[in-house]
Amino acid sequence: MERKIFDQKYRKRLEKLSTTNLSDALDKVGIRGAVIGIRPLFDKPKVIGSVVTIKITAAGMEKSKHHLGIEAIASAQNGDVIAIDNHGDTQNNCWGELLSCAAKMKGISGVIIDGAARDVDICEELDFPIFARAVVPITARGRIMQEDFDCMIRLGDVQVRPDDVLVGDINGVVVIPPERIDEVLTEAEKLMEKEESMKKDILSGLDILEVDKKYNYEQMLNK
Amino acid sequence: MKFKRPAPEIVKGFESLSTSTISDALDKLGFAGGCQGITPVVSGVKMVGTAYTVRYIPIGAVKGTVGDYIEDVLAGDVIVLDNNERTDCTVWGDILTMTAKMKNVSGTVIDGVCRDIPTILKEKYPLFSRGRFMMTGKDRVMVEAIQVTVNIGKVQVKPGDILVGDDSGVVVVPQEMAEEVLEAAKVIEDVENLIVRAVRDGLSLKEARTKFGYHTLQRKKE
Repeated sequence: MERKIFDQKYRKRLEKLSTTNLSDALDKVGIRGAVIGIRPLFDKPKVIGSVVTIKITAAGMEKSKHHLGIEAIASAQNGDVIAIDNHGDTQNNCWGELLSCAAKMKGISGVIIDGAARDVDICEELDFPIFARAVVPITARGRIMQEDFDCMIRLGDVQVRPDDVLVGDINGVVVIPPERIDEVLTEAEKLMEKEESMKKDILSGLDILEVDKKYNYEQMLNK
Repeated sequence: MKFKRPAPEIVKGFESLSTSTISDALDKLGFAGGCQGITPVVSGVKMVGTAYTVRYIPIGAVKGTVGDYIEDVLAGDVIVLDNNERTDCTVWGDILTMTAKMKNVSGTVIDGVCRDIPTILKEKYPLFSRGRFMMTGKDRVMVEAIQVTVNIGKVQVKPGDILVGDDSGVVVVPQEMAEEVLEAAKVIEDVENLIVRAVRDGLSLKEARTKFGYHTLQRKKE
């Protein structure tokens, strides 16, 4: 999707929605989009953008042609999110201080890693959001390497294509196919609205059993 | 991906060597080749062959199948399936086992799980995986690429690399190192045999190990 169109048409709407709303909406329209277990390493950041992908592989006799991450940063556009597929490896680092600096300068919204990161304190000072499974001090050099970028990857058990829309917050990460974003957003907004009025009713003192009945909460994902 | 299979006599050379000895030889040459977490389904079967690799990815907006690659696999190949360590869906079962057996495929190594274990046990098919399960990979994962560099138990595997499996697990010998590994492994095996013989002849293990340099057999040369 053209970044200009994305920013004009969708970014503001996504900012109002949580990943939980979006995950429920994805369930409702039948898309597997919620990533399990990848969370922000500090603060409560909200990261929204089209994705630039990186695929990592084990180092071996076949050597890496490029420094991990730099081409992805160079090719990213303002507001994009970088996603790194290191198949859940929590032993090896794939993102640190220098990449965060470069990504920040480029206007990248944040990085989402199916694996581990390091230099987390400095990234926090830089105010550059990192989502990952773990933090390690160890270097990637000689251990893992970039296999490809701008290619199909996986985050958890979710397929991610270049330009898919990624949203991350304190609850986790969701992947939204741009060709179905209208439908997902419409459902998510409906769900959010419903939950907001439920919340209002509960806080005004209405009994939870009554509220549950009134809104038919258990059936909310039924088509 | 461009690749060639190693010479058959090189592959054959590994048949008499254990994965432990090969792993020590790889350590000596500076390569960690043991596939972490991958264990045999069938006990007492040996596997030696050259890697034919398949990589899987979850189904999503792009849909595909679990693949029909086996027609291209040759006798003596080892089928290497990288399902990203997934243990919630299988990429191998009885139909593939029967077909592989018919084609004299050397075995299958999965970074993931397999099903139809009774058939695999009955056929004594060399199958190495992260475990056993029964839910299918169909409509859950799809083939992303064939004959590309993959990861098995955190080890890089390229098409044409040599894979050896036994009851201890699976070890990857990069093709470009194969001859060197073979030589180093034979030296290590000879020395270990000498140690066992010396102990049988009455030497203490400590004496025998010191005499033959056991503790540094696997050490990388400076």
